[in-house]
Amino acid sequence: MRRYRYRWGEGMWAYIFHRVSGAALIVYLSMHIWVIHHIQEGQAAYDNLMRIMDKPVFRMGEAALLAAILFHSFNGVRVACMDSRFGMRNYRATFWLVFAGSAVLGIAGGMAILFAGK
Amino acid sequence: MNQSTNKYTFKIFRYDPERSPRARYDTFSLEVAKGMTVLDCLQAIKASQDGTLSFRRSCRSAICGSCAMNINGKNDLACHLQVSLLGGRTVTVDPLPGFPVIRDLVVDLEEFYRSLERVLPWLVRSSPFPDKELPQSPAERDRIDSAVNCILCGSCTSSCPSFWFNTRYLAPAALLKAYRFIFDSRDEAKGERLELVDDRNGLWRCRTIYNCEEACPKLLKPNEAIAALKIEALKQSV
Repeated sequence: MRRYRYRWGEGMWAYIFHRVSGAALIVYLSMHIWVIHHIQEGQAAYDNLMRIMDKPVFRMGEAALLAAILFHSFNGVRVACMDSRFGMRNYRATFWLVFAGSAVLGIAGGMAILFAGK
Repeated sequence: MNQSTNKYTFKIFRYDPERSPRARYDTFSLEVAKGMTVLDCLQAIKASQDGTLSFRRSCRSAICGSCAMNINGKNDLACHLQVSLLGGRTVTVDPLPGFPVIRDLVVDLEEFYRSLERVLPWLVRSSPFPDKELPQSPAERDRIDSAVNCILCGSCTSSCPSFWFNTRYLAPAALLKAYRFIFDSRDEAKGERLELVDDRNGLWRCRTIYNCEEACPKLLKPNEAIAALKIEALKQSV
């Protein structure tokens, strides 16, 4: 367990957030396919499911999903740039840029999702 | 000479499998004079408080790499890190993470040396050697300059989470060594070495966490070497 006491820097947080957001996207995609397949059961069944999906808990999940997508996308670009030897020296600053960008757009988009149609 | 002194607390990882299977931390209080390094303090503790404390050390000049350990959560050489540069009055000393502990601060580096061997860490030439010397231009030398300075202390490899979870991963030190020879103008095994590192347990297991760069006591950049190798491996594959 000693290794977990290693000093956590920006690189470690970027790695953890990237993994967690990636796992969240896999869970979402599985759920999405499961929801979509209800179309074949007819319009009434699908509309009923959509009413459930409109509940606040699922809307909050969608807002969290947006934040995960934003971070995973932006950090993916960051990692690809660093693997191309671009911005390596500024890896701490670029993490905070990615984090702040995801947070701002995630909160703005999350508000829109939560309060849409209200 | 009148030197100001300060009292510090040293919290040191202890493990002796011959006495107990459980690890513990022992706390020592020590008066630290200006300029004393962590290694000076460990030697003082061993000399005056607990002779059973085990750690590796040799040159005391940041050249041999023997005294690499985890100090206040970050890997470094105990012989060049001055206690006064650490924040706070408590210094926590652990063995290098990711390696099995033999005793106290002494770790088993078998896996570390095995990964180095895998990248053929020597000059390979099929062409005959010239009679006197094998010259390099300053520009050719510059390309490998920083990688040549690696002292094999293990700080970078031990700081790498990818290595913690898969000790088959070549890890930063071996990849830096591979870079040192792949980009050496005198070496003739570039293709063979690139094939060795272009592997699921090689280059591509680097997750760009960059703990290695922070951990290197010689201020080398294993992360930049790995990025250069990734590009070189891609060039070779297309």
